[in-house]
Amino acid sequence: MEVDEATLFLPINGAVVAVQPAGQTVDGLLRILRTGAPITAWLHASQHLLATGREGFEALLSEGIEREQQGQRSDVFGHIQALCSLAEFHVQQAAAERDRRQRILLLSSATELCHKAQRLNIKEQLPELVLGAVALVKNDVTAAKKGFEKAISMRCNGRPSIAPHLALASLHFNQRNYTEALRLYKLVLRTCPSCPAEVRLGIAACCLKAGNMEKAELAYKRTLQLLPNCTAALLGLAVLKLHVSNKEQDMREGSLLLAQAFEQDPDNPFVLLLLAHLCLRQGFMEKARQLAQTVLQHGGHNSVQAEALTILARAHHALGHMQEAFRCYQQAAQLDPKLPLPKLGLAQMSVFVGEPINAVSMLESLLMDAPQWIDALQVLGRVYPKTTLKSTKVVPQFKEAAAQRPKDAELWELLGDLLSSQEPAGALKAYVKAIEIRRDALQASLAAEGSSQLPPRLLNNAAVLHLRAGNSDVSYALMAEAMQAAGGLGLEGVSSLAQITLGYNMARVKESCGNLKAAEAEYKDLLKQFPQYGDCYLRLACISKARGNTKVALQWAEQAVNKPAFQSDALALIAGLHLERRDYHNAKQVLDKLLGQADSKQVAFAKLAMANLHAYSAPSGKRKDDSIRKAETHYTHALELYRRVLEKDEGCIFAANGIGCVLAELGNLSAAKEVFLQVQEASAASNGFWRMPDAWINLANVYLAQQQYTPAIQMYKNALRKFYDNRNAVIMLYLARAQYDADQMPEATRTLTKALHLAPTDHNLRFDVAVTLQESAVRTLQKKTQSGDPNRHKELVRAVRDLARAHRFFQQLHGLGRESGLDSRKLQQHINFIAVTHSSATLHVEKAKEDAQLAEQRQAAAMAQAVAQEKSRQLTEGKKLAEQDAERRRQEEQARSDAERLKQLQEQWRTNATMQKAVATGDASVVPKGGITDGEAALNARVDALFETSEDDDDYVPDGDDDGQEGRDAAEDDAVLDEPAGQSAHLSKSKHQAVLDEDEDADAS
Amino acid sequence: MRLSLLQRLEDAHDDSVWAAAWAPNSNTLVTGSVDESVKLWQESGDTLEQQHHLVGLSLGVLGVSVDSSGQYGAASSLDSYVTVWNMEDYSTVHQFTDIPPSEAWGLAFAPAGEKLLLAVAGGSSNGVRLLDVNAKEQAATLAMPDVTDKQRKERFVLSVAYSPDGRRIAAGGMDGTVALFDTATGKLLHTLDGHFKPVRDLCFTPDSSMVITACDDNHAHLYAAEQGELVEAFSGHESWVLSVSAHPSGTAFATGSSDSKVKLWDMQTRTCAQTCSEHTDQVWGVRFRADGARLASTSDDRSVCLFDFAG
Repeated sequence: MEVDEATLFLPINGAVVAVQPAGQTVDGLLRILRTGAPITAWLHASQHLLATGREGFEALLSEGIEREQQGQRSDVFGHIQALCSLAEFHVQQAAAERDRRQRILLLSSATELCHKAQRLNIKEQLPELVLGAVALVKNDVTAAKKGFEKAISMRCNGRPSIAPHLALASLHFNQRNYTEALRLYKLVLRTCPSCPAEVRLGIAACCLKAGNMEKAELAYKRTLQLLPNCTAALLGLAVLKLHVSNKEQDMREGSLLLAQAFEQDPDNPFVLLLLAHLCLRQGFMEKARQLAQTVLQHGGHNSVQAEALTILARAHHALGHMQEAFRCYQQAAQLDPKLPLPKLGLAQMSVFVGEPINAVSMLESLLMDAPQWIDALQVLGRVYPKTTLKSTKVVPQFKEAAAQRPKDAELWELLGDLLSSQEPAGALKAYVKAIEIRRDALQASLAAEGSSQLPPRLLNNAAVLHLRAGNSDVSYALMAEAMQAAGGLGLEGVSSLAQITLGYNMARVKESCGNLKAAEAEYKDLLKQFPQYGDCYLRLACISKARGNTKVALQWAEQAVNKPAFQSDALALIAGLHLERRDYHNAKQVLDKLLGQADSKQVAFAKLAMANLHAYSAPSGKRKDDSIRKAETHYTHALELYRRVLEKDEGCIFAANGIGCVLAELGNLSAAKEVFLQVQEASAASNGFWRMPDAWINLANVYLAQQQYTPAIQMYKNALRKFYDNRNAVIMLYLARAQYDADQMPEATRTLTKALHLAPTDHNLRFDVAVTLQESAVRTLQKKTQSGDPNRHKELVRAVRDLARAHRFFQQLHGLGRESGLDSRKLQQHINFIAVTHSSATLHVEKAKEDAQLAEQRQAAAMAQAVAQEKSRQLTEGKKLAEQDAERRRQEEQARSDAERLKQLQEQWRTNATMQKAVATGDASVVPKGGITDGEAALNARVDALFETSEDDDDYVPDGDDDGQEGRDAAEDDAVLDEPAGQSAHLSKSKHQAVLDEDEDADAS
Repeated sequence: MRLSLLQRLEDAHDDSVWAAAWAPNSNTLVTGSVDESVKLWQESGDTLEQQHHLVGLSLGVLGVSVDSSGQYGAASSLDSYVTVWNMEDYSTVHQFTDIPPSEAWGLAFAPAGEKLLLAVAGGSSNGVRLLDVNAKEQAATLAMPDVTDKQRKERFVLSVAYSPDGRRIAAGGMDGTVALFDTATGKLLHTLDGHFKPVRDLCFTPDSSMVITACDDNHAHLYAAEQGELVEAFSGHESWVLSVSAHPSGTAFATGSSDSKVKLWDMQTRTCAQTCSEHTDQVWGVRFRADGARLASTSDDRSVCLFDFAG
């Protein structure tokens, strides 16, 4: 029977009446129904009204229900259906209702209706389902879930129904619990294979969300087979092709699918939205805007509206209509607070209007809900540098996101940007990775495209970090590539600002590579073009400083002071120059000025420098109470400043180092050591980004003060090699001091000599060389040795010569008078001491010379004796050999006679009858032969034994002497150790003074 | 132009090798070390073989030089003794022991002349001492210029060089002062400005017209001797430039540095032509042989490197 869809067949009074509701007014329908229609008829009619979008559903259904209640009809299920229908209607109204009170009213009415229905039949499923929906609108997901789950265990009019399964699946889906949703959809499909195609749609959506693209595609396709015109399935497939894949073919297919969906259902908001998305993506902003506007005009669910507004906002955003974009984002965010995109947009807007801190807080909360959302991370990554906030919170997310995307160069670069301020080593790694990715990509596409340039920005940033890490060569190569890349892009590709930056960095790299001349020229060139570029002044000052021309350096720095943006840097540099010259007065003035600038970037530096200044200028004289008190004030001041810096920046190793120094100065060596060890560790962990030679030196100084000479020496040597190209006279002085204290006199002398070679004008060094020579000579002279040591004379000659050299040095230094900066009384003492020692030493030498001659004679005698012994030994040996010979001959003789006797015996045996048998079975000749072999072996053994003893004799002569020598050496060592320090104590003090003074100097650099 | 390594002589001395000089017109190289000795090496078949070992140079050898005839060698040691020996039989010709300590540093024999003169950088005497070797006495002193610049505090002469024509002497000091003297009159001709840090070595170009300096400011400077003007500053070393030697052809010069590198510079283009990284520690000495075919370099790493030079 062909039925017009619009025709309603209503069973009224036992007859079926065909009604054309389209032609009827609501009143007309009422009239027909009032003639005694059963509740089902009322339900159908009202549902028809709802489906066709006409008014009157509620009125119609309410009247039907009322009549049913009064009429005592027996159609309980129909009654329940009607009640639940009305309840469901109220639920939907409530969901769309903005007014909270109204919504509560609607929901309570729906709940009441359901309860009514439940009173009719408590086991009926429908009311439970609707109650679940009520709970959902109330946002009580747990209650909704319970409701749906309960409904699953019930029946609908006595039959099982899949409706609660679907409701629960949808709930799980919305809760992003895709696996559970998928399980339910699958269950439905199994129990009811004839279920609506929408179930497959649900499966597809679940698969899509869970990332199982293949299954999703299959499910969508199956849906389309069942319902070829299913817009949702088309849309789903289109999404799959357009958003998930990046292949060109998929894009085309996706567009086709979308077009099909659009043709089919041009008003479907989801189709329009996806279309708008596509337009956005392809840059048709105006078109996207129109589409979104259409969706908005059609109205619909909040989430759809919000989505449309978001697209609208993004279109405006892209078109540069910031105000409208802002408005749209805001509306969207209000409509659907769960939608992340509008918030991202709002964050971007905040950045745009110069409120990066707002943006950061928005993005951070966004990322809490949606961790590792790349877009948000990317925006955040770009915002952080604009704020003073610490990006520590999202860094782990960033790192994880990057680790999961090993091909995303942009993300790695962003990670680099993010890390550059707080974790330069990590940043460098990220940049290197980004470059690597890009190079790989380039190599892959090189055949297709000609260009082979990396973004100059990335290259530049990586180069800068390499420079900071001390890899000048790598940095230079990258910088050169960046310049080339920038040149390739032309002026349009790279802003003029970026060009300046590149130029400056290139000069900076050249400077660090040692090409000061080129760097200088380039800085000057940049200044000609951009006189405001204060960094160039500062670098020029640094170059002059590196050349040792402090005057010019100060001039350049002064010029930068006039540029407000660079004032604090320039002041810091000037303070550094003064400090280097130990001009504490001027340094303090500059630092005071620097500290006076409230928002100066260099506050931390100024505090540190001021703290150092206090520490340096603390009087070191320990004799006067006054100076002790003064020193204490200085150190307290310094400590306080260091502490304040550390409060702001707990990772500041300079401040930590400073604290260590002060602790050491105050005598708390173990605490100082602890601090220095930590600083050293931190410095080592930074992969060369924080070069902190001071930590090494200070640690070594502490070791030295604690008399742990071996680690001290090792530490000084490492520091010299690692940080100073083995050419820092001050640290060599420390090293020599440690070697001296460790009783390594020759090494100490050598180290001091090398230091003096580097710094020939350093009177302290010359003095120390002389002291070491003197001490070394004294120790040699005092060495208790057995007379007759042949080396003794040589040693003494050398000692006397050393004394003479030391004397020369002391006299020269004494002659300098005040100029030497040394205590002339002390020098005179040295001179006098040497004069005395020298004369007594010459006696020693004479004695030793005699001894040596004696020893020589003795040695000659010993030699002669040895020769004689050798001769006699040879003689004895000859004799022995002769004896052996005789013995051998005797034995041979014996053997021969034995053999002969054997022969005779054999002859006898042969004649013996019983022996004949044995002869017949074996070879009798073996017997006598064996006898002879044994005899020979015995002989050999005897000869071997002889030679063994003669070898022992050989070793005999020199052995005894060696033992004696060893014994003496050991005795000498003891003597040296026990020997009183004498002059060395005096030296210790003076040298310790020098060490401490210079220590401060090392800190200054 | 190119340097190629012929030999890296490990442990040429027991410690840092500070000084080097080739004997003119021969294959003999003289090296001096902090190990208080001088070694003489003979190059044969592209390798150096030790010929003789002179010991007892107290506290280390600062500079060595061989006179134009190749007959005499001289070394200054850190105790300010200047020792002159016979290059043939290695016997000591004379030892100047009366120079006050700290008043002798680098040294250079004068080109052939009436007297056998030896110029010694005078250290804290702030001048140059001319020693008459045959007369065994001091012939003259040249005083460094007085400098009013407050920045220049360290008055100490480190390096000295004769011009090949014998008419000029150049000397460099701790404070960066470089002075040019007229040999005949002993008059100061120019002060060559531009350095503020120690000038540890310097040399003339073969035509005697230019002076090249090696300085702790990481630069080598080229000065026009007669005009006293800075012509060029060569940068590229990443640390102090310790030593410099001009190639006899005038087309190139070599430098040694604290950055452990030996660099070869092209005089025409005034650029660095080559960087050699054979040494592992500071390079204190670089010297071209008189025929220009070899370069020797000495270093704190105790080694001596022998390079072939191809123009």
